[in-house]
Amino acid sequence: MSTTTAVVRKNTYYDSVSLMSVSTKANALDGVEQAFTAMGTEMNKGVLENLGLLTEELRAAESGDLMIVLVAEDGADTGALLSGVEDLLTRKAPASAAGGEVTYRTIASAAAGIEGANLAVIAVNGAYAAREARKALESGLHVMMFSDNVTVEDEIALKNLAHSKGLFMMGPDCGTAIVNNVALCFGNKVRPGSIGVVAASGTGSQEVSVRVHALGGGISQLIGTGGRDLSERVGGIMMVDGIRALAADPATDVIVLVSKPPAPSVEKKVLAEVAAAGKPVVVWFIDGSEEAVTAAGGHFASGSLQAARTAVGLAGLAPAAAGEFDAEAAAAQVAARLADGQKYVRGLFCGGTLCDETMYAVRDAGLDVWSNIQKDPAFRLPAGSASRGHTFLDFGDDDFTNGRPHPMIDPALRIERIVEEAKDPEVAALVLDFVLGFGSHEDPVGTTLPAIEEALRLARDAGRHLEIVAYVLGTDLDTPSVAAQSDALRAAGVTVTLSSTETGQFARAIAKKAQA
Amino acid sequence: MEDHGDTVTVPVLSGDARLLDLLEPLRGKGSVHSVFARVVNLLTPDGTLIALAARGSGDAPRTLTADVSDWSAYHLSAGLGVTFATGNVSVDGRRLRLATVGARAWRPAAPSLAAPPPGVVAAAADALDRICRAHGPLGGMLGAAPGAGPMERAVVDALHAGRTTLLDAVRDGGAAPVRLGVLALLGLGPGLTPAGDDFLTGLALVAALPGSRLAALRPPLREVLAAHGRRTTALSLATLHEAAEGRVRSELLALVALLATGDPGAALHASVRKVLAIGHSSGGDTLSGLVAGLHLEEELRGSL
Amino acid sequence: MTTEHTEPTPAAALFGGELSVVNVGLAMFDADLRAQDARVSTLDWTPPGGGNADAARALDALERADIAARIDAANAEAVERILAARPLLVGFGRALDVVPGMTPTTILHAGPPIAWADMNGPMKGAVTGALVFEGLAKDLDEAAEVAASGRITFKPCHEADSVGSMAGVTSASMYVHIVRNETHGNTAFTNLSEQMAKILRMGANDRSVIDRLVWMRDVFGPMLKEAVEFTGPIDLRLLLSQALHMGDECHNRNGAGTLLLFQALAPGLLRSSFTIEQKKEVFDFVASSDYFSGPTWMAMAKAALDAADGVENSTIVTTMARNGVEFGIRVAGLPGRWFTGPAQQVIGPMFAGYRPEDSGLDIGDSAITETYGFGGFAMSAAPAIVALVGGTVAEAMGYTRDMGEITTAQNSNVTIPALDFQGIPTGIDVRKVVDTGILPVINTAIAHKEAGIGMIGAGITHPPAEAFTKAAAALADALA
Repeated sequence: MSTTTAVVRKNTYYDSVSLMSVSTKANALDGVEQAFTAMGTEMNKGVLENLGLLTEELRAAESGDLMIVLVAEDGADTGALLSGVEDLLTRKAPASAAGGEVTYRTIASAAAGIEGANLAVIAVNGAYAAREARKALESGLHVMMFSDNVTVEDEIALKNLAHSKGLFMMGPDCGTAIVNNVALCFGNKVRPGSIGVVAASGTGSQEVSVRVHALGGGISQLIGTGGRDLSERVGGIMMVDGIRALAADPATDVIVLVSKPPAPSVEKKVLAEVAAAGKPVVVWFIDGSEEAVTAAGGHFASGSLQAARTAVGLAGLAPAAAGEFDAEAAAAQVAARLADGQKYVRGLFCGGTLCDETMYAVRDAGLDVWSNIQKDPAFRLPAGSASRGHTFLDFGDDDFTNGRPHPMIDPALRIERIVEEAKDPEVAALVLDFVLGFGSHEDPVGTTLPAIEEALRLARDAGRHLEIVAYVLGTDLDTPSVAAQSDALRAAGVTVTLSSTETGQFARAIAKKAQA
Repeated sequence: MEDHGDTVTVPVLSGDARLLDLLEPLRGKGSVHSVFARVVNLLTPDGTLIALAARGSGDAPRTLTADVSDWSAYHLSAGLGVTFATGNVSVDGRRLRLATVGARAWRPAAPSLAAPPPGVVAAAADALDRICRAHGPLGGMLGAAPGAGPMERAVVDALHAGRTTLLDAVRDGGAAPVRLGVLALLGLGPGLTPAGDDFLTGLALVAALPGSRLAALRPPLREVLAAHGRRTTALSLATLHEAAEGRVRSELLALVALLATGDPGAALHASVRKVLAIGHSSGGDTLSGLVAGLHLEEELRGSL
Repeated sequence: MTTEHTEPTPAAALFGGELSVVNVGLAMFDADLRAQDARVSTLDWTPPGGGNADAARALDALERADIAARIDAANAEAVERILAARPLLVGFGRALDVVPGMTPTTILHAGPPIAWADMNGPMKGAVTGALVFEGLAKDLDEAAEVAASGRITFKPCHEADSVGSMAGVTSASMYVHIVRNETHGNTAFTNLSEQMAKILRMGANDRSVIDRLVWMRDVFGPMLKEAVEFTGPIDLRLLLSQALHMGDECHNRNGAGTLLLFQALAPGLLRSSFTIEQKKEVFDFVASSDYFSGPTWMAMAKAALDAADGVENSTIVTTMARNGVEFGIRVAGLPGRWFTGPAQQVIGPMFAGYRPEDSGLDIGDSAITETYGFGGFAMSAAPAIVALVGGTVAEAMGYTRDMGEITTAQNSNVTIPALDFQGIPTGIDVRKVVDTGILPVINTAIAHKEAGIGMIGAGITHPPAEAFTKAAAALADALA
């Protein structure tokens, strides 16, 4: 003997898709023989009456009422079934119930309480970050994880979980992304456009986005992967998912990849995606090689500027004709003012990739370069060591930050070093970067200018010309704007370069001439 | 919730031209009728049901398409007051105002059935029927799903019986039997717009096309809607009223226009899929009404 | 007309939709996102277990997928039992006659187990008063000797199917409520309200207190007993839900609940065999304080929560109780075990003439109300009380919402109109308390730290986090 029981919701309308899902779930409830969901119209009630299923409650239903009819198996707990159906129909308590904005304590409750929440930015202590990211993914949110000090095992587990759900797991240690023209964490205000970026490098991707903007192009999406994504162990899970998402995105016409050269097995995987993307893909593997990229049908870029120019060209925009920077001529003018013994270039950087790009430019001229992020251990300088020869320091590297805020937020350490380097009679030039945009210090140039002036004064008093070269990464839309920051530098006697690539060319030319 | 002052003005991107004309002089208080993620239905001061759709929803009768991705940010709920004023519609107590200024006017134009030579309409109907049967949803006009319970089977049987009654009545041409046939389907079946109504929508559209031999269906259909509107949901009733005037959603009109060219070719498949994507099963049930109407059209032509 | 379309992939939905960010950890990102007109909600985030490493380890163990699945299923069952419980007031009787394990020399007290020597001033005062009332000592001095002699059995109310307000002291000849859970068949007991004056449960024990206890034993209790025999069982969950709709939270505010309960009892009281004078005394006594129904709701909650006791693998809290020295909790999946930490100060406005340093520590079994989901958890149902406990209406709404984060279900039988008839938050989950760092909020009275003075204020307190981290560790040991 089965029994009929029903829920009638007065004047209730559900999306047809949710209505079907209620119907499907009701059919799957334990103890339900069959469930039927329909509006309480005369005709529908007539059908139920013919089947002998029209209860008094259903008879009273009207056209605007939703009927859920359950035929329960013999012995089923109809009370439990009804509450099961009620649960299916119950909507969340309105988040506005308390008036004012609701503050949530956990990711799960925020994800459940905020209609349309779709991405979590996680910047908690690394010890807790993996746990929070897992909760976010389980709640159906994409994740951008700014936190670092997350184990590689956790990273792999999180990325696999995200992949299985079709979600993004950007990071750990992911500093930059632009989603729907909104910059997350560290990012610049750039024009929306048709160029999509997937990047394992934060400042590298910032530089590409800023150069694309300066060339008249725009960014559709910028997906960060975190620095370890392309390692052998992680296997490029996020890079691959990012390429696929941009390949499927109708608003993206050209894809740019930014990364240090991947592990060989991962490079193969990534290049297979490049070949399959169905859209032009520009690949800037910093200090990487060309053949494999070209063989996969990708467009190889040897530097950030070339990556941006190629992408803008492929997007069908004629890049604004820029006069080529004559680094050699500019360096010759500098060299003429140097005293004997001023032989070396010292680069003090906030942006890791900016440091890389300049350092490799100098190294490629056949010169020895020392750095805290040198790949060759023989030329590695630990944090705290004095500079030697041509030295390029990334103040954003963990060795330097060591618990302190990133130099893009807190430039104090670098400020001290500027003055210190100026005292060294072997130094011909200092190369600095300033990163503008969301997340960064509100006036990085202003806070560094006193140190620059002090450095210039020290050199002048010692009878030397100290060349200070600075690159300001930012756009005309950033606050402060790139023009305002550059003007302040020029007024102090600093030579301002116009891209990271150009900065490298200039540093190389100076280094060659000074050491010659 | 209090009005916090900084009201968001959302532009209406496009709208049913007739609705825009109706709204132009309209002043007064209406209300929110029902709220879905991407569509919100309103009652105007004179009780007409109109829809606000999120962008990308496609034009439809009595519908304004606004520049929002969905409505969730506005915390709308049924019963809220709505103020209709010059050039805008705002929801009381919510920071939402819709500005109709600059909205593109959508004017649904039904293609004529007079032009296609004999046999073309039938061929189109057959092609449509095949695609519909291959991809359409079960549980309504297209038959019961495998393993369906007795309730679903009973509804499907009743839909089938109603369809036969109505089509026979249209063939015979008497107003009274047509009224009974319409009543046999109105409000019948699963879904927010019951499947029987979707079928009627498809059939009514054919009847409303210029040059249709089914024109005699429309007066009794209108009479039934006027006299027995309470037998179905408000949404369904509004859709049927419009369909009887040849006014249906843009996807459906595009499909009919394609069929009327006499040579839909490869484009037919994509066009049908767009209609099938309407609602959960509404698209398929509407198509089955369209197919039935086109077959009848050919039959009735033959008898002339 | 327009209807719905099918779902895109999560990535396409992100790109095609409106970005809405949940920001965890760095507030500066909140400002940056707002500056870009993006939707953002920044969490009030604390590390799990308040940064306690043991707690985090226990939580990790309990979150292993297989264990979590077992716990979730068990918790669903435990909460289902709590929600399904239908406690009825079926009668009143002498503790000796009705409470299991009661003897003439048993004294029940509030909170987790405690020895005579460790009891605080008010509880000692109540114990000695009860011994005099029972005739086990001729005066308070002798009562103290008797209490210390080892001849008295001290036992937590909770271990005798009972709950006790404030000191919770219950002795053999006191009349108690008998509340039967119709659904599961278990029974709970609690003492009668002594109303608001110098009373035993606050540690007062002079002649007037003893005289009132005698009258309650001889007139008030027996008349209530007869009344329920006339009225038949009274559905307490129904009355509770009505009382919440009328602005009570049924822990510190009981005006509506008392009217409803009295309305149900009055016909029976009138038909009882007592004299008109005695009936007038009883009516006057009930009218003298809104607190009359306070203990009744406690027994109601106790009857429902005991139904979940012993559900294997469950991390649902079934008891929160304080003895004035320690705060103890019990968990469904670890029956019979107390997890304790120090009782806390109650923060709130004091009556004129008293200062915070006069207040005793948190005491009583009344936190059973919060364990069920009313009291502090239902503060949003009782905006009128916020002044009494020193808060704002917005805070009251916030309390209920926060409690939603550490509970398992909403009780659709008992709802809150101001929250759109959301059910009260029910089924405190030890895991969620440790994970979120949100402690249950308890509305309670403040007793003077000295015996015999009584209530000097009301306010809000929380259990010590330690009780929950200990429970989490024990659960991890038992389940992982």
